[in-house]
Amino acid sequence: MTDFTTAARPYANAVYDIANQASALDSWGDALTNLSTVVSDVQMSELLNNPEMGKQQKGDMLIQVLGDKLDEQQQNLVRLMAENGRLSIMPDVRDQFEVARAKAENKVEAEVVSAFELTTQQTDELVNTLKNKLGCDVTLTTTVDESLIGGVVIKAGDTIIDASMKSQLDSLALSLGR
Amino acid sequence: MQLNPSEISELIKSRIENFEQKVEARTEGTIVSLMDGIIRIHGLADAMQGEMIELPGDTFAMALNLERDSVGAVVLGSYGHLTEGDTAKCTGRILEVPIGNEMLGRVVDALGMPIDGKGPIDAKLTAPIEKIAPGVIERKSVDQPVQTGLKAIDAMVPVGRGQRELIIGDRQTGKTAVAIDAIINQANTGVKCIYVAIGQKASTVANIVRKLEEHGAMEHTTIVAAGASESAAMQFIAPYSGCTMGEYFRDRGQDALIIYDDLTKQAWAYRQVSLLLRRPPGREAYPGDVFYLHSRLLERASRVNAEYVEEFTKGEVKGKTGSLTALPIIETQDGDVSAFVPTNVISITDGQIFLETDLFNSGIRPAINAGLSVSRVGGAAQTTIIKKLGGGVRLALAQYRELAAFAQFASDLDDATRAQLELGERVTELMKQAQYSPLSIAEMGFSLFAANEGFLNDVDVKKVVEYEAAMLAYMKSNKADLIAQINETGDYNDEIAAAMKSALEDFKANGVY
Repeated sequence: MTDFTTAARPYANAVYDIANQASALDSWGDALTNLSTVVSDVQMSELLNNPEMGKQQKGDMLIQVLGDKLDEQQQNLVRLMAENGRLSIMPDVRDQFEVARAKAENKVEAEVVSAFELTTQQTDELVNTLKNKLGCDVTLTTTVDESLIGGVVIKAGDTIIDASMKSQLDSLALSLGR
Repeated sequence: MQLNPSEISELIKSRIENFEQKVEARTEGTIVSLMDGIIRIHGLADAMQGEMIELPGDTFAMALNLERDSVGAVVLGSYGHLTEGDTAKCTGRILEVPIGNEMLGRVVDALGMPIDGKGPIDAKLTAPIEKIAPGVIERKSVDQPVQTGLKAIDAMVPVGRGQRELIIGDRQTGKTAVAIDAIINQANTGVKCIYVAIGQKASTVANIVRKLEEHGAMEHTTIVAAGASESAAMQFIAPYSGCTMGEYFRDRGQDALIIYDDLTKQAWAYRQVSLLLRRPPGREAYPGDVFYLHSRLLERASRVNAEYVEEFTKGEVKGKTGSLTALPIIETQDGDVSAFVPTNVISITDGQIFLETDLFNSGIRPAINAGLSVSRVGGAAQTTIIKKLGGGVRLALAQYRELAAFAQFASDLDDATRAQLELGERVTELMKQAQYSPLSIAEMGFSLFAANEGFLNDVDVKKVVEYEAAMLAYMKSNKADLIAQINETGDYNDEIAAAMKSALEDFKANGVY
């Protein structure tokens, strides 16, 4: 996982630069998402790991699958990554690309896990508070996890704000057990 | 059903009431690999070098390698319950241990947790284990002695408060014995002691604790034990933890003595951790920073001036200097002092006490090699009487060593040479001292005086040890005033010399041995 991140970074940075220059961030983003989905497919990944297939063959196959959804430059990326045997890190390239994009646009994707469904007012308040705290635009995705008992857990990148009942009870248990 | 003392309803109630759960933003990561106590964590972008990382199950790790996409950390303690994919949280704190007077009399592990079954330690303060040593301005030169109670050391290789004196020798040469004697002798001096046991057998540590208790030395001593069965990470950090506990006393205008037993094993533990973290190996497979490993530790043993203490305690303690004296121990292999770690530590310390197997086996205990043992700063810290009288002993031994080769031609030698040889033999005998029997300054003074003034000349070489014991017993019972006077001031002048001489003559006339 760590190694994949390291390997994916140069590709992601190069792709971001090209996309940025051509003002085609959205089209590249879609292309990378499509590619990641295909690469992550079980049957597909089996094929990609098949030693009997040549590198070029694997690249061509991927391009065929996505057909005309890829423009020429995007096809070149697939060929290059096929050549270097890096097709399997496509999801990491996508993630890094999105991170770079969010950073440039001063945006953060935050995930909120709550014990109960949040009202619109609550999400708005959360977005505003997080905006102040993190100093950038925040896009929220919300999920419900009843095992939290109460409260919320907010994840934005590596940062976690854990205000759930479950974690409080856990740490109380730990402190009493000492 | 067994309940432990912390399970009283009232107590639990108050703990629940006072329980404070702060919600704070923390950085989280995921464990991606776990092997031999080394974990690699993905994420944790803002981890600090040396930061404590919280793992599931009340376990902590220490971040050592900060890389672009991962953090390499060592787990402190057992790691059997950890799995790949577990979350790891930053704590924002550098590794800390409890400090204070509460630590005295206790046996703790490398994290300062009690392991002696005497209940929790109610220490109010904690301090980070890695600190920068006091700078040039804050220091004061060494001019007070640490009495080890061993004649051979106090007379020939004196140790001052704030000095770093290495104890080096092969296995089974009595290195630990010297250190333990030094601790026992601090009982009434006010010097607090910390004994750091690194990579030792648990039975050895238990033995040391028992011996210290027997001699009433445990009250002023903390033992930090990272035994052979503890993880390499714990053995690696134990000296730093102990040093932090010792600095508590130094910074508050008191004197402390710390013994690292031994730094060879700490270097091994660090080598293991470093190799597992894939740091490049250098000479003898040690990592590149093995010198810094010991130099930063030993540099913290120092004497600080009164201004530093006053500033540190915010004016609470005035006009008092503080000191932390270190006696690091290094075990050599087959007397090889030119190996990597021994040469490093020899160059860092202010002198060394060199113990030899041959001397040990020929019955000279402590087995100190008087020629190779030196103290670079201790001379300034000796009490007057020991300084005056010890010089003669050192000289006699040096001349004896030079002539010892001719000893077998004794009959063909001139009188002067033969006299030197005989004195040398007697002084060598006189320097023997049993374990756990430290001597006071006055007792040492009498022994040295007897050698210098020729009182030993008509004592049979084999009887020197008995002569000394009888003489000291005689002095203690008949010349208690003189002994008390010398012990109090440590002065030496013509008057005292005359009194000592007449006392020894009395013993010669009336004593039996």
